[in-house]
Amino acid sequence: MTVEVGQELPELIKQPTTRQLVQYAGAQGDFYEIHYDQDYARGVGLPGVILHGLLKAAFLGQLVTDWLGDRGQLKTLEVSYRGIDRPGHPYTCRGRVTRVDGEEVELEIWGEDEAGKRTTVGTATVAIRD
Amino acid sequence: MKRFAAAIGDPNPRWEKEAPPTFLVALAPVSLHLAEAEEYGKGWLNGGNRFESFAPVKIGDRVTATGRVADVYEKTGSSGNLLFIIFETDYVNQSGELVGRLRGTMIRR
Repeated sequence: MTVEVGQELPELIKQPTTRQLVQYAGAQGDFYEIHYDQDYARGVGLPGVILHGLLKAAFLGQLVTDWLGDRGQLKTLEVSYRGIDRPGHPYTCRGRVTRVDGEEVELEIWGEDEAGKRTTVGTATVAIRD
Repeated sequence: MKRFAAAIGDPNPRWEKEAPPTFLVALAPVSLHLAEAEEYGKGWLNGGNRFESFAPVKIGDRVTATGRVADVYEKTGSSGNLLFIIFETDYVNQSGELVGRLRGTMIRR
């Protein structure tokens, strides 16, 4: 498969739930209350519990590895969290190829809330085998 | 690893043998490095993360995580003072090979 600059990755739509936030808290070991305790979250000025930034990073990792398949390895995944996301709302991951240099490919990746706002932005590099 | 893949909702069978991209964060939770910073402000924000993978992590590997605080600085934002803590964790496998590095920006406000 040819990889070219400008090529878009197939979008990945996640449907995070409060159950998933608890699952992720347990699996990762992050028990910060803003991810499962509604009263605590509102007490620190949030509209309710929010997704872990690192869960959104994992979603973007899946976006890249789903696209990559068995063709290679994800080398770097870098993300900045620009806004909050809440369970019960779809989270859409998208990306596009920004540079191809031999077997190294650079991607622009981002996650959008349901209004289309980019709440997570980042880059990834992958090594594609011949 | 199975629980982690289930938690992120990624059904890729590749993760039955190999760690998914962000898995290593589960070996040394961010909060482990940062509990002492909780005297500052009232809450945490996660600013960003960078995962570097140098070699795949496979089932059966023995991985040692070593974390350090790489930088700490204060900034004045529109809603008051913010404390930025940059942490880095290195992950080394049983052969002494650096397999991954995680960099993160945690913010107290």
